[in-house]
Amino acid sequence: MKKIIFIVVILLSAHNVNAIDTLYYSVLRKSIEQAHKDYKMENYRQLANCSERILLVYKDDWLPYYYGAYAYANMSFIETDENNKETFCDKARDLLNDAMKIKPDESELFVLRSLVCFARMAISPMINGPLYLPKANNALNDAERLDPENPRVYYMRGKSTMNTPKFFGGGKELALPVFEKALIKFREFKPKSTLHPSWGKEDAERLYKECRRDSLKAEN
Amino acid sequence: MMKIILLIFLFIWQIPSLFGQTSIKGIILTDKDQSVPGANIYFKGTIEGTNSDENGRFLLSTDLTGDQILVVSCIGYKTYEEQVELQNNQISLTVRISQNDIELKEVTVYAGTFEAGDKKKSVVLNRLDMATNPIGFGDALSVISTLPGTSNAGDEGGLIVRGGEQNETKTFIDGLLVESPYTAKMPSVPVRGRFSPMLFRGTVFSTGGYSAEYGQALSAVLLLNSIDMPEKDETGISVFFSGASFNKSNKWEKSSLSASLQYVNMSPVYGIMNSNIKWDHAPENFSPMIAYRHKAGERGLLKVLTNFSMDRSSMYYRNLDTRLDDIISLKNSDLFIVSSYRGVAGKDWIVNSGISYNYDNEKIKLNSDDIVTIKQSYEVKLSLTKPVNEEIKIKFGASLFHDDYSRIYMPYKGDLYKWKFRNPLFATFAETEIKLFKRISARIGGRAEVLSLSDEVCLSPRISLAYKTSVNSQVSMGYGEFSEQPVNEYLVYNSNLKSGHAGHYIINYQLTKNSRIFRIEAYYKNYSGLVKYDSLYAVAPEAYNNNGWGYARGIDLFYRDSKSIKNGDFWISYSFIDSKRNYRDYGFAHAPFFISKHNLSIVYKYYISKTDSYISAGYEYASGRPYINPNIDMSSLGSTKSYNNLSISIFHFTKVFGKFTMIFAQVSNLLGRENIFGYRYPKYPDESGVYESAPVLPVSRRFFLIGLFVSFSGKPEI
Repeated sequence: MKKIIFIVVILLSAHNVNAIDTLYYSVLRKSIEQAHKDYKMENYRQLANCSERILLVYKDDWLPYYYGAYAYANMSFIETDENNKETFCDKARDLLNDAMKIKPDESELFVLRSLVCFARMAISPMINGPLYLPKANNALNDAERLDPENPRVYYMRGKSTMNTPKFFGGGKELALPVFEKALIKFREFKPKSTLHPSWGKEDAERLYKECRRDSLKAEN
Repeated sequence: MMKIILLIFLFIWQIPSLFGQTSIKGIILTDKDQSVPGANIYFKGTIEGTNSDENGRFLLSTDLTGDQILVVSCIGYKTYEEQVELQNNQISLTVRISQNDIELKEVTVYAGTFEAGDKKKSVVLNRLDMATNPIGFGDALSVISTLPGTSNAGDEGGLIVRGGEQNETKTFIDGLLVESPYTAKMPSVPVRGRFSPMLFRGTVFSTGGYSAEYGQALSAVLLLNSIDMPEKDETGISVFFSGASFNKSNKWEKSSLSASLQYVNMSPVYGIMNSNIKWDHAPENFSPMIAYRHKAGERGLLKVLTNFSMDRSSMYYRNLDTRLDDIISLKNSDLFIVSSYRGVAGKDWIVNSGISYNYDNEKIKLNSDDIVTIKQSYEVKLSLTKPVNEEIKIKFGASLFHDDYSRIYMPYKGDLYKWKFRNPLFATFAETEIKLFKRISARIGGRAEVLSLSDEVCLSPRISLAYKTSVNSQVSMGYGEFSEQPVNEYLVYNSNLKSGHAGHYIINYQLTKNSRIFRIEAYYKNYSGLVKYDSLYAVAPEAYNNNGWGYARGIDLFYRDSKSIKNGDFWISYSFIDSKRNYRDYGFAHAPFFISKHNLSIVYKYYISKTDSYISAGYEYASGRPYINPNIDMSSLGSTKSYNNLSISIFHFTKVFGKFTMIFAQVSNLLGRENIFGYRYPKYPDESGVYESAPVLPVSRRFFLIGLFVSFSGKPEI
C-alpha cells in the first residue's frame, strides 16, 4: 500500500513539476539539441520560435533571450536573401540587448554579441567587415574579462582570426594557437546547468585540425 | 479499498490527459493564399506552441482547456490572434496573416545625398574605400570625386559639383564651416584637402538640395563627422617616398587623445618623374593634428580638433605676355580649431553646439612683389533637435559666423595697397521631418541669413520628399533655394556685392538590394546674381556687378556592386551635365571652362587571398573641356581632347620585425596619356598678330607613391 501511494505521489509530483518549471528547461533543451543536430534553417527557426514563446512567459530569465538571439544569428548565416539576413541580425540584436538588461555581466552574452557582428560581416564582407570587426573583437575582449574560462571566447576569436584576411592581420596560422587555447578551455569547461550555453566544442576541434593542416602545408 | 484509492489517484492524474487533449490542425496562409512556413503558433501566456512546416501546416496538441487566445506570429507579418475554445476536441483552422506595411524606418531623403562610412545601410562608401582609394594622390578625400555629380578638373582640384565652382561647395566638420578646407592655390596645381579622411567616422556628401541647417554654398555641402572615440590605443608610423607620418592615440575610460604629425616633401618625386612645372622649391607640407574627446555624462560628448598645416612651394611660371618666367612662391599656414559638444538636455532635446576658429596666412611672392592675405574667422553655432512624436521631429538653431579679411599688396617699389573688410553673418534655421504616411516622409525647412556687409537678408526655403516604392527602393524629390556671398577675392575689391542665388530641383530613384546599390538622379539648377567683372579693371570696385546668371541640368548615375564578384567590389559613376553661365569675365553665356559634359569613373577593388594583397584600380574619363581660342574667335568655344586616367594601387600586408606592416604602391596614368586641361593665351597678340598658346597640363604626366605603414599596436584597423 505504502509503496503504491509513494509511486502515485511520485507520478503526480512529476506530472505537476513537468507542467510548471522544468517544462521550459526540457522543451528548450530539446529544441537546442535539434538545432545542433542538423544545421538547417527550420531547426533554428523552431529554436527561435520556442525561445520566443518561453521568453514571453519567463520574462526575467536571460536564457530564453539568449537562445532566441543565438537562433536568429544562425538563421542569418543560413539564409541567402540579404534583406532577411539583415532582419534576422536586427532581431538577434534586439533580443541580445534585452538579455543584457537582465544580466549585464554575462560573458556568454558578449560572445553572442560577437557572433551577431560576424553575421553582419557575412552579409557584406567588403562593406560590413571594417565596420563590425572591431566591434566583434571588443565584445570578445569584454567576454574574456568577465570570464576568462569561457571556451567560446577563444573559439569565436579563433574563428574570427581564421576568417580575417591576412591583409587585416588574420589567417589560419595565427588562429591555430587560439583554437588550441579554446580546446583546453573546452576540456575544463562545465556548464552551470543543463541549459547554459555549451556549444562550439566540435566545431572548434574541426577548425583546429583545419588550421593545423594548412599551417603544416605552408611550412613544407 | 486500496484498489479504489489507486484508481482515484490514477483517475485524478489522468484528468488533464483524458479531458484536456485538444488538437488544433491548421494552415497559415498569406492574404494572397501563399503558405507561410516557420510561423510561431502558440497560446498566449503559455509556452505551448509549435511552428508551421514548409507547407504552412501545423498541428498543436494541448492540455489546456477553456477559452484561450491562439497567437500566430512571423517576422515580416502582422501578428494574428484568435480566441479558441478548447474542450477536448479537434479544431481545424485556416489562418490568414498579412504582411507588414512597408515602412520608412527613419526619414532618409536620398535626393542629392550620398553617405559614406556611417553605420546606415544607405552608405555608398566606407572608411576602407577612403583609405584604399586609387584616385587622387595624397588627398584621400578625393574618393568623393569618384561619385557622380562631380567633375574632374585636374588643374583645379577640390570638388566641382554639378557645374559649380570649387568655392560653391562648402565643407563642414562636426557641423561647423571650414573656411579653408583646401591647400592654397598655385597656378596649374590642384588643391588638396587639408584633413586626413581617417579623422572622420562618417561623411555626407550632398550634391544639391541639402538641409536648411547649412548655407553659403550654391552647389553642395560635404559634411564630415569626426570620430567619437577611437576603438583602441594605436601607434603607427608610415614612411613613403615623399614623406613620413606618425600617429598615436590613447584611450581612457572617459576620454581619448590622438595626435598625428605629417611631413611631405615632393622634391624626391619630381627628381625622378618629370614635372610639367619648373619647380624652384617643390611643394613641402608640414601638418600636426591633435584631437581630444571627452565623454560627459551618459550621452554627452565633447570633441576638440586642432589641425595645423604649413605649405611652401615656389615655381617658374611662364608669363605669356612678357615671354619670361615669373617666379611665384607660396607660403601658407593655416590653423583650424573646432570644438563641438553633443548631448541631451531635459527629457529628449538633443543639443548640438560648436565653436570654431580659423587663422589662415597666405604669402604669395610674384617675382619681387608680395601679396599677403590674412583670414581670421570664428563661428558659434547651436542647434536643438526634438522628436515631437513618432512621426514628427523638429530641429532649429542659429549660428554666428565672423570673417576678418585683409590683403596687402607690397610692390618691390612704390606704395603698399591695403584692402580689408569684416564680414559678420548671422543665420538661423528651422526644419521639420515628418512621416506623412507610412511610405512617405518629408523634410521641410527654411533658413534666414543676415549679412551686414552687403546689408541683405537671404531667405532659403528647402523641401524634400521621400516615397518608399518597395522594401528596397525609394523615390525622392528635392527643391531648395540657396544663396552664397561672393568669394573674398571679389568682396575685397567691392564689398557691396550681393549674394548669388541658386534654385535646385532634384528627382532621385534608389534601389538597394543584396550589396548592390543603383541610383539615378536628374536635376535642374538656375543661378542668378552671380558676380561679373571686367578683367581689365579688376581692382576697381565699379568693375564688379551682380549681373551674372546661368543654369545647369544633368543626370547622375551610380552603381555599386560588392556581391557579383567574389572578393571583388566595384562602383561606376557617370554624370552628364549641360550648363551655361555668363559670369566672371565671360564675353557671352557658355559652358564654364572647368566642366566636362560627360564624366565617368570606375573603381574596382579586389582582394587576392593567396598573396594577402589588396588591389584597387580606378579609371576616370572626362570629355573635353571648353576653351576660347582668341586666334579664331572670341565668341566661340573650342574643346580640349578628352581626359583619361587609369590608376592602380596595391596594398600588401605582411610582418616586419614582428610588427604588422602594410606596404603600398600607387601609380597614376598607367597608360601614360597626355592629358590637357585647357589652354592659356596672352592678353595681347605678338608682332605677327598671333596669340601664342600654352597648354594647361597636369603637374606631372604620371605620378607614383610607394611607402609602408607600420603599426606598433597590433592589427591596423582600416
